[in-house]
Amino acid sequence: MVPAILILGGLIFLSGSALIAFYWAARSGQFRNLKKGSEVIFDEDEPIGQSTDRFPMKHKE
Amino acid sequence: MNRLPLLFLGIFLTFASAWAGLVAYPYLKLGQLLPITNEETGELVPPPLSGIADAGQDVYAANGCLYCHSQQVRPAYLSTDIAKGLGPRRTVARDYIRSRPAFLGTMRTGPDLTNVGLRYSAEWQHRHLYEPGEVSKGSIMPAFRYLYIMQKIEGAPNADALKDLTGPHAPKPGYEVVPTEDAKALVAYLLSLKRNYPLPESPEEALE
Amino acid sequence: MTTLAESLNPSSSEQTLEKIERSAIDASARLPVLLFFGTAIFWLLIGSLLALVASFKMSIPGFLDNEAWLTFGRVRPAHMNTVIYGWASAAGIGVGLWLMARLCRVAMMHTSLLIVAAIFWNLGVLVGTLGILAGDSRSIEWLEFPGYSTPILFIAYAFIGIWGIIMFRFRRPGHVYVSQWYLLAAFLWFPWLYGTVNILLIWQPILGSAQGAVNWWYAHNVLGLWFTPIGLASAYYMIPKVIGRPIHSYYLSILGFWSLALFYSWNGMHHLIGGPFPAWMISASVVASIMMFIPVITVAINHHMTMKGHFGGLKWSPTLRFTVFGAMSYTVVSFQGSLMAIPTLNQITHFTHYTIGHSHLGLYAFFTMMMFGAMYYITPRLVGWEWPSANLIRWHFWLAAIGILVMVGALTLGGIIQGLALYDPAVNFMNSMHFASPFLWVRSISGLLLTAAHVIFAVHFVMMLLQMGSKRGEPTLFARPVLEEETLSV
Repeated sequence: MVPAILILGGLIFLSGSALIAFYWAARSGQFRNLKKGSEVIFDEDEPIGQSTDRFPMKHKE
Repeated sequence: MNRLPLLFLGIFLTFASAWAGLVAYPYLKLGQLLPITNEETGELVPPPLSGIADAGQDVYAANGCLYCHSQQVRPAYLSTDIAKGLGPRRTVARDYIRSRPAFLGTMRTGPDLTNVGLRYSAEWQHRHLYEPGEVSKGSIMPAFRYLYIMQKIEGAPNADALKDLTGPHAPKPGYEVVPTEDAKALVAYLLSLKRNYPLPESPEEALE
Repeated sequence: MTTLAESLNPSSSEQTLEKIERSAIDASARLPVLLFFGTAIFWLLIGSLLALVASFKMSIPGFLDNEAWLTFGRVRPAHMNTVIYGWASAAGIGVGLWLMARLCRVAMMHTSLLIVAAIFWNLGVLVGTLGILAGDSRSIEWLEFPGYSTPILFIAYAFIGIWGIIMFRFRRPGHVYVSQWYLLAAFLWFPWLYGTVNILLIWQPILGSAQGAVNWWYAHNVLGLWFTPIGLASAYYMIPKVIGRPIHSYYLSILGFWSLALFYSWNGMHHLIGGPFPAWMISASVVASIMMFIPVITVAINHHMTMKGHFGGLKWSPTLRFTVFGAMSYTVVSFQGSLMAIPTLNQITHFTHYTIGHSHLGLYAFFTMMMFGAMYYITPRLVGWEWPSANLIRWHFWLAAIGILVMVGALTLGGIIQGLALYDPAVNFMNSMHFASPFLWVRSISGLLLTAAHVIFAVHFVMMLLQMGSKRGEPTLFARPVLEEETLSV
């Protein structure tokens, strides 16, 4: 019986948290202005249009 | 978003359904199956394993036989298992209730073992485990010599000693190869692998 | 000096409120992430060695057959568990931790939790692997670590989960990037999967073939709800960051996430088509496997449209090369998986080397290559030095790429031939093995290529730790920013 309770509990916790997450996301505007959302990983230091990775150079500066 | 509650219900049901189908149902229904009585012979099927055969399951698990050998006969509408003689009928959930765990397997590098107990004797099994390459030419099965002991013959030969060994590890004169308890248990388990008893949920299928 | 309670409450933290230097975030992540990366690479080497032993044994059955602990039936699961839990999961955790810190835009806190987690995780893998070789495995696929080692892993994991929740609470307010959704989902899903399967198969085992259902529900979900989200989280961050361009359709990425979450869990039974289960379970899995086309095509379109016009980046960015290889492999392996679930095809491919080819396409060509890409991006930012040698990176890439393509090709062809032979009742069983044997030799040789790639990567990583590269410019750019003037050899 104990395993069944644990697993059922886990399921309810997981599905419940998925639901709460989705609800929170919808409420807090995560689904609004998607274009701005996609740009959130850029800023003044690493702006759009600038790459941030390359093979290391053979000679040192 | 006004339809949020309905959306949530949909999400919850979809997510929970997989768990319900693949975990809860097996646990509640398949996991509680009991043996039934064979009407003709009055015996329980699937038959219980003897103590030594049951111990053999642990040896089978410990040595990973499952990674090359499956133990399931698929139905005729999905495979040619029955046409190839792997068994008279497909295997069903009840066939595995004595297995710890159910060694269904997902590879057939070696042959399926569902009914291997109907095909070979204990002597063959011991010899095959000790020197598979000699018994089945070209076989890639590894040898399980560590399940056997090479010992000097003291007085009369041991009753369990393996006979007719021919390979490079065959005993020199004056020596014999004797199975350990693990080897005996494993072979007892292999001999118990017979799924030719009738089960109402899996009638024998006529070959096409 | 903050109390423990204060350290768990975001409103008491200054850094949540003001902007923090990206390099400060990277510096805070240094020890835990390097610990996970370093130990993951160690297990990658061990796992590769075990793989070679197992693979050669399938061509030379007498190879190393004197000892019990080296028998194929133990070496093969030892290989699988070291690469799944020791390499792949640990690398995924390392990458996930760094991504979480970056995306929460705060420095890592409570890193002691993570260091303890890393130690426990590795202890669990070590004890588990030794246990398999000692003969304590129960032959439950993907879960062969004996029962005495799994609680160690579970504890390690619990620390990571707790840390993830704390970090998320402390994040800077604003949009939650798609990679973070994937990571949080993965971090929550995994303990539930692991806990459930341990309860139902090890602690209080259920009876009979039901175990198979639960077993493959677990194993397949580890792929789709643990590894896939971490891999995709990395791709969704690395690709835009490297080429300097946001994701093409953010809407599609969110659609992809939710459809993955909904459909994936039903797939597990497609490993057992024809097995001792009610027909509806198998059918549902087949349908769900086909439904997976939706999230997979979504992700593929998104990646392609984001990369369009920027494929030149594959010439100068190690991270992009590995990541795009991984992303394309994700699409291929997922399509292949959906097709393999169709019963007509499954009749031929089930029980053959084809399945092994498929699993390596997923775990190596997709996930492992994706992790290599992420590690090449992250490590310089942690230690403040560039990778010492571009050539070592190139060798790593080509050996791994060629190795895995040859391996998958050999296993796929060999598996089809094996399967056709198995299917035909007129063909003797031994022939199914003989027809496949040349392909197994090719697989072993490709395994040598992969192992060489891993050794190179490991050596290079150690060189990084010893700070043998040139110092990086601040804050996180390479020293030479101009691209168009350079022509580099591939």
